[in-house]
Amino acid sequence: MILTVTLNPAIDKILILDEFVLHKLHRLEKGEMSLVVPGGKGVNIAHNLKKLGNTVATTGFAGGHSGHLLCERLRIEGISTSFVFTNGVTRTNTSILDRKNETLTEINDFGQEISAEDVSFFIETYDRLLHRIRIVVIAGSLPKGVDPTILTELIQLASKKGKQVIVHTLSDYTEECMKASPYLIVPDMRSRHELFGKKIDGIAQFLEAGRHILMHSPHTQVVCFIHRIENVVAVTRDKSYILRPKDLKIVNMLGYGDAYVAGFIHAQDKGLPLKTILRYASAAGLTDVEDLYKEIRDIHLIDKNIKRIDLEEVE
Amino acid sequence: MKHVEEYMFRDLTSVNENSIIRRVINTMRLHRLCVVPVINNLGEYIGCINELSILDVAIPMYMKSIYNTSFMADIDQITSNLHSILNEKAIKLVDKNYPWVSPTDSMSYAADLLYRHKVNMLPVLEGKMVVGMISQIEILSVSLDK
Repeated sequence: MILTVTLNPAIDKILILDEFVLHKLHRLEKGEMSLVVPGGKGVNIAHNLKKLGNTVATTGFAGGHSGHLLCERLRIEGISTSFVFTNGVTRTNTSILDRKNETLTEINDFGQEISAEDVSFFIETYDRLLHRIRIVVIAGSLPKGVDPTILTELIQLASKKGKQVIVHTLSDYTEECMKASPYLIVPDMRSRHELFGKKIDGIAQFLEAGRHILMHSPHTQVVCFIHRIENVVAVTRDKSYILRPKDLKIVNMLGYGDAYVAGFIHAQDKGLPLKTILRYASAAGLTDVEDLYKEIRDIHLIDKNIKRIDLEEVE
Repeated sequence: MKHVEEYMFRDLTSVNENSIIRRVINTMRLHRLCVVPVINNLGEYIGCINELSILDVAIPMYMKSIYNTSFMADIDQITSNLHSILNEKAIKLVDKNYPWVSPTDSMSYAADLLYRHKVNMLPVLEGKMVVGMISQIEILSVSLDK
């Protein structure tokens, strides 16, 4: 079983409009869509992993009616839930996709404030869940009241039990995660192209940052910079790789990173060689962005899309 | 034949043997559960705590003997009794003989257990691990399926 941790999950309200105009009353018309789906990075990853045929459980904090809605929808998909419910309410994230102008506007709520007592109960629950799983994925932002040191604690607890840990959180937390040295680090740099307090962008800087992470995080084997889909950079202890999709036709970037991470885990869990894993992960991301929905709907397209991923080796 | 695994809800919510009763009540309240499984350090199932078993500790002896709440002088006495156990550990109230089912059990067996034991919910166990819960509504929902 794979466990995904989403400390700050959400209900995603996704509006797919022909055109989004500021200061205008929009009434949805035929062809436009309004979706209400479980969200948060770990939840999205769980969704894709389940779709790919894995047995998945998900944990984190939830609360209120939206928390129950979140869990209910996940269970309908066949994902086991083990959320710690708090007195607060699970946040709602709003995304507006404008098809004419090809823009995506996202407004992510803060999330509920978590008490120290709930954090402590969550850690106990997580520690017990670790006995029944093989891989842990920690993804997404942190809610108010939760210190980033929780990431180190969660990674360490899992590593001590011999579980493989994958982290896909904000780049602000990368240094904290490095202290506990997870297997794979995928910094989430969608909102800020910064790492270690410096602006980083472009292949050369990604390679340098990846090598820096590997040097200071002794058990980490792979670091991926994925937010530039046209040039995904994967740095390993042996070699580095740049992956480029051919004939990319972006429809919706929402959920791209989560599909990539799910693809990586799925391929790796099947024991495939690293280059194939990286190609599969990129193909999963590509499949996701070329569809309207934030999760992969047709998993067979991933295998077809692998051919469209160019892989360049860098020493 | 309909099996439990087709109908159970895959919720792994539980409390730990060392969780205090305050956490147990809060978990039941926030998760809207009347029964919560208790697990040990290894994540293995020990038993369940039913909301009635918590109330049972709080109800004064004289009321139990007369089986009539019209004699209940004041809820304060129950509240006060509950206060005194809020910091006790869950293990103290766990029912190790609480009925349970496995995913491959038939829904008629689950229905039978729920009815005979007069409980609303059963944990679903695979080996020693909780993999979900099944309640009376899932039994009723079998009738909605073709």
